Amino acid sequence: MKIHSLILLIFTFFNFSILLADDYKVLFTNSNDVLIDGKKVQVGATFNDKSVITWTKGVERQAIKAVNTKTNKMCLFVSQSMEKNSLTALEILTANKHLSTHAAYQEGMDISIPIKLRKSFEENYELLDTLIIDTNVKLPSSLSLIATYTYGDARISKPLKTDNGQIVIDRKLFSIDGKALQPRDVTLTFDLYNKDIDMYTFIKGDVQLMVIPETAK
Amino acid sequence: MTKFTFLLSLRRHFTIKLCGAILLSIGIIAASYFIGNSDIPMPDEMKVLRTFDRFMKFSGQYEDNLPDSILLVNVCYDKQLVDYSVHDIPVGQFVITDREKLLQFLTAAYEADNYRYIMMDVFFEHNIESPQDSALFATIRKMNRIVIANHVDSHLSDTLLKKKSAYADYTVSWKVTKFAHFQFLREGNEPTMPLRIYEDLAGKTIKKWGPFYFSDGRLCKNAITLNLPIRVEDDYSLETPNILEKRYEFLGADILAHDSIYPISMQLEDKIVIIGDFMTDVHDTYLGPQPGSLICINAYHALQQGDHYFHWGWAIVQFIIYFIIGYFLMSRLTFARMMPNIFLRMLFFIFSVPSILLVVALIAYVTTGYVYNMYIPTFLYWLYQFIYNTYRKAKMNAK
Repeated sequence: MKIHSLILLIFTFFNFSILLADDYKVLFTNSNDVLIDGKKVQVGATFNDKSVITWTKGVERQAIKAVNTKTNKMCLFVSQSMEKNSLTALEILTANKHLSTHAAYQEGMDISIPIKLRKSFEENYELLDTLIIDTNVKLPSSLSLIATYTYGDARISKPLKTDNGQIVIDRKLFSIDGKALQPRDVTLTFDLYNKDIDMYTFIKGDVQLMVIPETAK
Repeated sequence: MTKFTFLLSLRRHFTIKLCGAILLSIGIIAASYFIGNSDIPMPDEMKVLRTFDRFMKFSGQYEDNLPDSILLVNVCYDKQLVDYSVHDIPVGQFVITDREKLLQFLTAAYEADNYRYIMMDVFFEHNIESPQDSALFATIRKMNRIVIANHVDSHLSDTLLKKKSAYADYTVSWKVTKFAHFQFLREGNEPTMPLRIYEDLAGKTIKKWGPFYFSDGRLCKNAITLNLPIRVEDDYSLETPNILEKRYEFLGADILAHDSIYPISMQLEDKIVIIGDFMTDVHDTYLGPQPGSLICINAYHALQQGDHYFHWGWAIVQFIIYFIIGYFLMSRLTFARMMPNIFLRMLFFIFSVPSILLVVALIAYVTTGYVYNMYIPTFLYWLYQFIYNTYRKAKMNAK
């Protein structure tokens, strides 16, 4: 009798957990190489929240659009992990507003990136050989940081090397077609370029860079 | 004898102040009701809402909120180009919401007829025509539980659509240029979209009787400072690091494109469907830019919650507060002066009339969500003091 009760309890619990599980129906996918429970994803296929999704290695921006058949709400399963962007107390009380056209809202971009980058830059730097600025912001491959300065009458923009949360500024910034420029005091403007949607976001202007001449080494 | 005369004068003064404070309090409550019913926003409404919203956010109480009963359909990416003329002279082309897709969607909705309501915040303006118009307008006319947008100063493309339309407008002033105040019955006592939904779903309406408004046999307001509890901050809400839940669905890319796998009838079942452009049709509110369609659904939500009813309980609380302030004002007393302790006196020194009203308004908002007008009482107290001081000066000059 006791064994029967135990089996019944396990059976009830199992059924209950099945009832609680969310089921999804695939509506769209941008990559057919994604595996769900070891099978290639197909439009119209169903899976539940216990299913294992295996994203193709080395391929970025894979996504599956599915509908939760219990809640009737559509959702996206994405290969890149995202963080919840919660506001700090200071960000609730104050906000930064942009007046330039650079400030256009970019759909899909983590809005905390420009905010964090903006805080990373100081007003003054000196460039002797290579300058490394620690930002702790890892940029996705779609984003690159562009530095712009004026040299004579020309306005020059160049992408900066970024690596593992670090921004590298070296003398290559002042080299045009292999010819080295000899600037002294440069005012830099930093922009974030999103190559996916061809759009710039203003990060910071008026960053003073004193370039120490190479002969002074 | 002198003592008796003094007591008599004291009593007379007390009675005058008492009656004055009572009259002033009733006057403020009445003025707040009548002025508040107009379409014109008061200067403090936006500020109060913004202050309270910051307070709620700061205390971690507010988040993105969209009830399951609402389906938001975004038409921002469903556009078509149509020929456009000015004074009957062709000037080029104009971008409008794709009427072919609207027709496709409404036809499916009409056939399913399982939705709770459809609020289509799309305006079919006179002089802008598309080849799908006759079929689309015929479908709208035969549908039940649908309302489309109309505007006070514009004309609909088809006059037969008038029956299915309601106003989607609000007023701003030279002083208040952002949205904070919603009026339910507008020009000529015509209903707005939220009121029309309320009429159709709840079977109740707002009726004017002289300067008063009634709903369901109860005294109510025709306009309120609109709180926006239904809000969509982002396109998606992050459920887990890899799962994003859509906050609204795109008409073409989500609803129509997947009809064969996920039928429209399933998507609409028992939903209040809000069709609008959530990207470009945005208005400045205390939360920042918010889609016009969401403002309308929040106004409907306010009606559903009974926020438009005149709250007698709060009116009594307000009366007591106004009476105390009025009596102090007439007696030329301050809270600080009454305090025996110097520290308490310093503390009460900061308690000006607007700050007391702000505290009361904050308590009302946190406990009941009721947004209470501070501008009218503050203005009337100031007006009383101004008249009284002018009268005293004139009297002293005469002496």
